Amino acid sequence: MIARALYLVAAWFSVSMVVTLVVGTRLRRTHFALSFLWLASVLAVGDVWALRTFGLPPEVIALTGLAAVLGVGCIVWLRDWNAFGQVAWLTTVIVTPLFLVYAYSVITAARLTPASFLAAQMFLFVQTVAALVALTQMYENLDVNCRVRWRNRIDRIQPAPGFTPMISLHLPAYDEPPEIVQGTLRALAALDYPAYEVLVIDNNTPDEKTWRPIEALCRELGPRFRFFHLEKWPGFKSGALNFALTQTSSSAELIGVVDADYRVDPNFLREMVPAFTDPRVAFIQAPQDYRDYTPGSYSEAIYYSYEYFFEVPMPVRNEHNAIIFAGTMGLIRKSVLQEIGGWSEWCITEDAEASLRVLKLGYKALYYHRSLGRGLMPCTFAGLKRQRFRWCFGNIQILRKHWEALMPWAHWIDPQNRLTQAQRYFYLAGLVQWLTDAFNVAFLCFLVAGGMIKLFSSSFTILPTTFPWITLSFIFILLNIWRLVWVIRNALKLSLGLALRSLYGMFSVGWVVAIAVFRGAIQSKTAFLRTPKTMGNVRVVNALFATQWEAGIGLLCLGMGAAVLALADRSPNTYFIGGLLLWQSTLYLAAPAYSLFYKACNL
Amino acid sequence: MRDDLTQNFERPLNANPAPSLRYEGEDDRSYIVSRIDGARLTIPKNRSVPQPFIDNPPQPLTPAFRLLVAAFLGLAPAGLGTIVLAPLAILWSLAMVFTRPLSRSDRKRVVAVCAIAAVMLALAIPLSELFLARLSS
Repeated sequence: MIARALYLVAAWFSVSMVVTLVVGTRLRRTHFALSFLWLASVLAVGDVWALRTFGLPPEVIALTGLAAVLGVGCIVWLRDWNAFGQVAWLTTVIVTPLFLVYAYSVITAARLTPASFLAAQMFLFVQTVAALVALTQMYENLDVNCRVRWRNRIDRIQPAPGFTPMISLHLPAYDEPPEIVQGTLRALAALDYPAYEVLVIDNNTPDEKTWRPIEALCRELGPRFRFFHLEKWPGFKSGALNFALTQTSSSAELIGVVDADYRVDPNFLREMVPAFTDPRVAFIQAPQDYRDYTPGSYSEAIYYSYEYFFEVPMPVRNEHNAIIFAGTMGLIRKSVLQEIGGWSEWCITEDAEASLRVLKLGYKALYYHRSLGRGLMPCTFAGLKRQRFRWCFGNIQILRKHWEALMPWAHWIDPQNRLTQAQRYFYLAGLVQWLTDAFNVAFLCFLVAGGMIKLFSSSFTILPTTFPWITLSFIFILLNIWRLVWVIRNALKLSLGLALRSLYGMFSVGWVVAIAVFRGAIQSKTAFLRTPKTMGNVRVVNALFATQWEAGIGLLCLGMGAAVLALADRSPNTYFIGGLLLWQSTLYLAAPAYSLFYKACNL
Repeated sequence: MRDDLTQNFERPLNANPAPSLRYEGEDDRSYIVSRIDGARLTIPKNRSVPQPFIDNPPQPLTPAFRLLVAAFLGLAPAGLGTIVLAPLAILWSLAMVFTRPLSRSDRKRVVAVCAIAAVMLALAIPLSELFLARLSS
């Protein structure tokens, strides 16, 4: 019964997803009748197929009725999406739990040894949690590509003549190459805004020769620029920013954070400041953008993997007042920053952490969807890995510290917590999405174990894989990859090749993200790893050394996948495990490939 | 550390008669520095108002929540971990009710811990029963 129900729902899911992935972005209007018609068509296609295949068992009728009711609810709830997105989301929400129930029923019905049963249950547990996280990504992807009405999107802010509050721009720097910081300062000096100051806080730079030229330029640029050099200063970047708060002009109303490598546009402040005429607005964030990539190169692929965050999750979160303050290219009200007690020095992603505390107080945050400054990407793949480690570790710190504030019952426990349910959901989803790569590592462990069993023993089973299980898993994986390419292509307006390279750019840092998740789970603190802005020595050996683990795992998967396909029995299970191992090898081997060919800081 | 700091700072300061920020001294809680215009500043070493992560004072229900997280992970091996840890989480939180004066929020947390632990137990019991049945057959 469950297998038939699953087949039916999988048919609905496949039809609605394939159509959505092919033409889902073209429908730019939404109407209840249109959505209902599409819902009825998808259900009818699945039902006709089911009728021909199984006849008319009661579960088909019951499921169709349930899907129709839920579908109407989805259409009403997601009224800003087009019909394709609404029905794709509905079928995803139905097929996911049904697949898990089916997997559970297979495990319980199979005659497994206690050890196999235990292993199968562990797999099911990981699969269940991973499926929940995947659902959050699916929602985000459909939202960005199938939304036809953006209620809060801001491409232009209405100018407010005469509204020119004093702004204090804080530029923290640690061991930054002086020529890069000088470029940043000159761009800041050219800002078209009447009332601002720039505080450069150079903390812990070991060599005096590095910071003296910056100090000299600050003097040259006039009293608007003030330079502070701090030795052995605690708190990393947040420590420097907190010091800057103590030195901020008392007349400043807004604080801006600009990274040492950012070249801001002259209209950076003039365009963003009018947003603060609304007293509820606590901060505004513009996208972080980069200037050091070469078209057609690996750095271009990595550039678009950075852009993904500002083109997919941020616009979606902005619709629900749930964006993060990403530090550079953002402005925050000074009084709010003081109200939350400044930047947290225990957290290495202090900007995102601060934004959560701001929103908890009930303030509003805006995402300004226009690039107003460009910085530098890490020069080498090793630098990229360090940066990704820091971001992930910092987010796990936030999850550990603030998880209770994000729970559905948070307001009941703490009435001071003014986060809405949507804000809690988006923050929680954004944080747990970092776990995806850790789940991938867990799946890989099961796959490798499965491969070993295929090669060396036939008596032990990890998971009793049935034909429906293999078929549907294959369909899910395929549609999942297609969906990722689809969202990257459409949201970032890329060609298929570049979208695939960007996707692999994201996969290539999967291992370091997984390590950061595991470290973040057991460690509460780590050093702030600054992203290097100089090339250093990037010879072939160094590039490969930086990705030795990924290369080792990739080669292991490649060898084992090939061995399973060549030596094990000819069964669907063998092809499935062997194929997945080969696919996993491409994810891990992407790291050494990118490490060899990625080169940014192309100034 | 103080000697290192003085040594590292004095050298550049002496080399430049108009440093941007001059180190004057420090105690356990603050750095004392002087600005270019002679104004003295006392900057606290810990400038973050929220307590640093590691020094968070343990809340009465922190162990109960830790047991709850462990109980959740205990679902993975056929619910066996949950069977042991979820009741412990419930017992711990109930013990807090009877042994300590709890705030209103903490009393609500006790309810949350008990409710979540009960749901997890409901999931874990059939799973572990199936496992035990396989073990005995």
